[in-house]
This record gives sequence, C-alpha cells and structure tokens, in this order.
Amino acid sequence: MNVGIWKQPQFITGLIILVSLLVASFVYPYFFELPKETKYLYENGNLVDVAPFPPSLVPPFGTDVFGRNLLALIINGAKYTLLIAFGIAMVRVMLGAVLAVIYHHYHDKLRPLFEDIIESTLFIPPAILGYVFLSPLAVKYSQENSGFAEMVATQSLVLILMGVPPLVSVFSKDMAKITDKEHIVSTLSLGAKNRYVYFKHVLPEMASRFWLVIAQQIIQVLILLSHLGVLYIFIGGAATIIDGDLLSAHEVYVSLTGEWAGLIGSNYEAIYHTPHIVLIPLGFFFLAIFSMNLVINGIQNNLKWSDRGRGW
Amino acid sequence: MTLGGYLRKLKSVSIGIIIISLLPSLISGLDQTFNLRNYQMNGKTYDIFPGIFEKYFYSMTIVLGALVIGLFFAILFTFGATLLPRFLKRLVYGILTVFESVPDLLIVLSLQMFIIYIYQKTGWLISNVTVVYDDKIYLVPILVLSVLPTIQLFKITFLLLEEEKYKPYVNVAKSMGLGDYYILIRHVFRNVLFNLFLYFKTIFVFLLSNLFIVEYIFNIHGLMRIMLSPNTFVFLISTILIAVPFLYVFELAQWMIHKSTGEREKEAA
Repeated sequence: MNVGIWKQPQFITGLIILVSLLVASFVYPYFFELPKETKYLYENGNLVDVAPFPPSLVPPFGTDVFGRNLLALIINGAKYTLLIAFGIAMVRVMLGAVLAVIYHHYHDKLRPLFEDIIESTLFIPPAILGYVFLSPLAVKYSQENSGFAEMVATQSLVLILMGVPPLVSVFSKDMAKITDKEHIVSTLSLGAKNRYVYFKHVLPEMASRFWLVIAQQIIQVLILLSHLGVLYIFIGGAATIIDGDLLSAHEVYVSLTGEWAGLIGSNYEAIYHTPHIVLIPLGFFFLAIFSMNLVINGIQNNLKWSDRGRGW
Repeated sequence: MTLGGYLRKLKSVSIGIIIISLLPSLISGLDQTFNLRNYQMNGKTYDIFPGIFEKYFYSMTIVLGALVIGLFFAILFTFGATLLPRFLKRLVYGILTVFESVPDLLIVLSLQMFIIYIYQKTGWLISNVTVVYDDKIYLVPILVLSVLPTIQLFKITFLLLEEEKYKPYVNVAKSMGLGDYYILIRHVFRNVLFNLFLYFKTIFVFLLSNLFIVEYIFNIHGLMRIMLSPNTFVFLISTILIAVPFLYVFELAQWMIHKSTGEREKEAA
C-alpha cells in the first residue's frame, strides 16, 4: 500500500460510498428517531392500507411488513452489515496469513490433512456449509437462551473459520514464490533467522496482496450473508414473532441486529405480493459489492502501475 | 494424467468431506443426524436410495445446460466486443464490472418477478416459476443460472483476448499477411479457449453456489436442497456425488496447466 492508491479515482469513489453509508448509519440516530411500527394507515379517519406499504405511499422505499420505514431500517442496518463483513474478512486474512507462515514452514507434516479439507470444500457451496454449521447452533442457543454477544461471537467464529483454509493454501503458495527469490535465498544463506526473513521481507512484500484479498473476502462474506438471510440464519440470532390475525397466524423471524440479510430473511415470505421489501435491501447489497469492486479495481490498477514503475 | 492419481485424489477428498460432515454432529449429537435410509424435507419423509440419483442427474442437467449456454453467449459477446472501437471496449468493461457486482440472489429473484410480471400483463406464462410437487422444470432454471456465468466468462475471455492480442505470434501472423479475422478465429480464439479451461475451478465453485440459490428460490427438489436436510449422510453422499465427475475435470485442468506452463518454466530455469 503506498501513496499512489489515493490517486486512483475508482478506489476513492468506492471508498466514499462505503464510508458515507457507515457514517450515515452511525450519525442517523442522533438526528432522526428510529422508525416506529405503524401497521395501519388512516386518511380522514378511514383505514386506507395495511402494512407493508408500497414506496408510493411512504417515500422513498416504502415499509416492511411491520410498517417501519425501509430507508431508516437500511441505514440503521448498514453499520452492522458492513462492519460484520469487514471484521470477518479482516480476521480471516490475518488468521490465514499467520497459519500460512506456520503451514509454509512446516509444510510436510501438515500438508496431507490440510490439502484434503481444502479441496473438498470446493464441492460444497459456502451457503450450505454455513447453514450446516450454524443451524444446529441457532437451535442450541434458542434452547439455552444464551447472551447476544456470545451468539454473535460464535457465529462470527464459524464464518471466519469456514474461510480460512483456502486462504492458507493460497498464501502459502505466494510465500513459497517469494522465498524462492534470490535475495531471500541469499539472506538466509548469510545467516538470517527465519523470523527475521518473514517479518522483514515476506510479509511486507505481501502487504498489498493482503489488502486485495480482504476486499475480495468482504464481497464473499456479503454474498454469504445474503444467502444465509434467505435461509433464516441471521447474525445475532432471530426473535420469533407471531404475525397476522387470529385466523391466519404465522411465525415471522426478525433479526435482532437489523442487518440487511436479516431484513431480507424476515420479509422473504412477503416477496410475492410486495417484492420491493426484499429487492431494495438486495439493491443495497449490490451497492456495497459494487463499491468493493471499485476498490479492488483501484488497488489492482495501482499494483500494475507500481510494478511497472519498479520494472523500469 | 493417470487414473490412479485421480482415484488417490478422490480418496483423500472423500476423507476431507467426511471430516467436514462430521463436524456439525459434535454440536447436535451423532445418533439423531445420521440416518442411512431416509431423510425428511418439508415435513415429508423420502428414501435416500435410489431417489438421490434422479435428483443428482436433474441438478447436473441444469448445471451443464447453464454452463453450455453461458459459454456460448460469452464467446458470442466476446467476439462482438472485439469488433468494437477502443473507447467502447472500455465501456463494455465498465458495464461488466457493474453486472458482476449484482448478487446472485437479486438476479434470480428479479427474473422470477419479471416472468410473473409478464404473465400478469399479457397472460403469457414463459414457464413455471416454482415447483409445487416433485415436478421438473428445466428452461427457466437453466436460463436463470446461466446469466451470471455468462457475465463472468465474458469478462475472463475479454481480458484473456486483450492479453493474447499483444503476443509475438500475432505479430508474426500479421506480418505473414494473414487476415485479421483469420488470425482472431484460427489462432487467438483457440488459445483463449484453452486458457479459459484453466479457470474452470473458479467458475465451477461460483456456479455451484448459484445453483443452490436457484434451487432454493424456485423450490426445485434438487441435490442442493436436500443437502440442507439435517441428515448428515445425505450431505455426505451428495457432496461425494458432485465431487466424482468434477474432480476429474479439475485434475484434467491441472494437468493441462502443468503441461503448458511447467515445461516452459523448466526451459526458463
């Protein structure tokens, strides 16, 4: 990472979109009240409509099934979604880098078991892998009534560990490429300790690559979260609320944090008569992923540019 | 590539799959989650064998159909894009970045909504958009599944082609007086297609994840859906069934990479 990155228009545009979403999400409660539930809409004392309201009645995005303003919910949920995705991606890469050093160093002992597990995860879609691990956990927590923080921590841990093995494999291959370079070989033969080589040469050389992988991982985590949302697995757990009247009562899962995937999941049943409540949060997922892609393009352009600069 | 190498790889991958599928049992106990005979879904009980093979072939038909259609359109689009002037090419690349960012869930849901919308407006139902019983629908899932691979393949071929065009052999061919289109189709495209095969792993992982969403949204009773059942054995069998043919293709791709780049590296060293 160097100064040149701040001259990449794509990188800056993407970063501005993401940061403004985050800032809006944190600042919002100080200026506006959080949306109240309004189930029924009256006009001159007559009942006009029942929630969810379309965007034409409650601008700009309408409301969810409980009659809460969707825009407010999305802005409120942005901080959870983006920070969870960023946190998971960050820890994945850090853990992956540390394990890759160990793995690369003690190659032969760990290799067989490790490569098998990595190769076999290719054949399982991440959403299913996440569901298989997280759904027994959700049942267990709802039975034991554990704390909210503990639940978030455990779920994040599962999502982190799921993504680490492929990263270890990729990073250790990169490290092998770097340690094969002549200057490293000669440093080692001059008597440098391994630890010195890793901290002084290998890790700094991989720094920009780490940022790139973090950005890519954020996108993958966002997509994974949206998939898990449809499967009714929400980060932070779900509260079950009985909705509807006496004749047609049905259970609705409501995300406790209010992150976007939770919005999608809790409104998923309503998609066929009011598509906007699911499509609009998904649209924001698209916005976040698109800005991450801009950031990635910026980083890649910068890498290309600096490589060329170094080459001549 | 040898068959023995493939079988050895298959064995170790199976061990990996078994390890993964046993991990969740640590949370909820083995006795409840392991059943060799049947599994439950949507409140009904199904026999695992031989029904699982039917679902397997159904899901694989959808995947392969989507892959073929995606590849066809990606090549068609790339061919069209190469004929465009330079500034339009940059525009195409920009549009591709936008489309690449669309979450698969959004594409699948909005296409489903779109078909329903057409039906409501015109009374013309393109195809069933959801499955009620163990019915089979082919057209819509294949088309919907092929959208994102088309975009991804298009982007990869587009970039590969741009890279390939500046290689020395193209210059040689030009100086020999061969026509631009002749070089493009006869030489450049052939090399690009070969390189595309090397990206098969990435595309496959992506496609599998999309297949799951398509099956879930369209309520298709396919292989991905039954992997969600709490029965670990179903998960195990389904994953191994997917691994058997595709691992072979991966190994083939790996072998081709090795053959094309490994020898070159040896020469350089």
